[in-house]
Amino acid sequence: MSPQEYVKYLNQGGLTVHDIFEQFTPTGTASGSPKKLDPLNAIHSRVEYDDGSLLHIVPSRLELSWTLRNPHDKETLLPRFVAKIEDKYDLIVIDCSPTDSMLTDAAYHCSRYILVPIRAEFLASIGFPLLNRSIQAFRMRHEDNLVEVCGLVFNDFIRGNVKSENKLARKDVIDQAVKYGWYVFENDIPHSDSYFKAARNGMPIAHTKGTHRKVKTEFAAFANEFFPRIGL
Amino acid sequence: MSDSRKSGMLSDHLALLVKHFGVQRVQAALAKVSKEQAREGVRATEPVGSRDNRDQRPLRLTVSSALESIRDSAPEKYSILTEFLGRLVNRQVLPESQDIRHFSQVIGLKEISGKSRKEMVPKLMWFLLEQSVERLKSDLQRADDISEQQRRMGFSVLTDKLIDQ
Repeated sequence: MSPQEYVKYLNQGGLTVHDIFEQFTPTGTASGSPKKLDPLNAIHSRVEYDDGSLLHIVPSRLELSWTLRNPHDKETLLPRFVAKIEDKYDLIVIDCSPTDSMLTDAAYHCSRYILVPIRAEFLASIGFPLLNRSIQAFRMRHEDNLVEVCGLVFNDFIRGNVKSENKLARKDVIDQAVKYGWYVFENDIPHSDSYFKAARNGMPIAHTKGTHRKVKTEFAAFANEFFPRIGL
Repeated sequence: MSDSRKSGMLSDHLALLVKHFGVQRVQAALAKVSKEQAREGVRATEPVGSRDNRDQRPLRLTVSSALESIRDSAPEKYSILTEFLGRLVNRQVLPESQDIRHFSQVIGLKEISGKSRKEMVPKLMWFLLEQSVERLKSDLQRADDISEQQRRMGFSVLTDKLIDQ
């Protein structure tokens, strides 16, 4: 979804993830009592291709951060939403911040696998064990939950200009991953300005004008490694 | 037989083929014939000056013929697509090749080959011919939102929206 499409969507009153989490929040006198959200109303059809494949999205918005100010009893709302629509899709991706919160718990609740994009830098190597602790803590609280890490992918580094500090951080992350038994993807996703251009244009990276063939190949190689990892 | 009469007959035949076999199958057959002709070196014997015109003529003719073939059976679709083709040809909509690529993605045409706008327009039209009137009505509206200027506005639109709120 390009920025223009997104703004248009919001202006038309399109629902977002924020509405999923706030559907039962007491409202003002103007809007009346809380109403149950119909999942189909919150799904935006981004594109439906001629070969039958499609991309539907539920956009988010900045106000989602306000949900964290009053997170009580909301972590089951996203899993309940996903449960109602999951049979219609091959893959559902939930993009969330790695900071441990009600939002990550909600995402863990409705996920089978966690994909961890990680940068080869000092701060990432420190934050990485915290992610492990977050997942372990969640699994202790919810023993029946099967969520697991499907792998780590190194991204957003400058191709061919890897500094020694990056190499050390990368080694630290890999060592930790081995310790936790987490898979590290062989195919990385190095930095490319084309990803920003693709986002600006609302286009897939493979069809974004000016994208170097190498970038497309790298991303396709990662995709080819990723899908079998999650059984697709 | 005069050229105009030949052209008229060809249009009629193509319209019949489209009616019986569908747009995609006729398009595939024409592409095959075109390739075979190229292999046989037919084009190599033609004067260089006339070659460019002839490259364009069959494609334009077939899209136009396909449109003509639905004129009576699907007048609304014919009207919508004829109007859109006119705007496309005059560059009033989707003026750049990248705009057509972008639009193709938006409306669900996964791959559109060709580098130039001229190559892509017929391919886009063939795809649109296969769509329902309801879908065309909503999809074609979206073409007006696509331009290099819109893309350049990019994230500023987003920040303006967020700050306004």
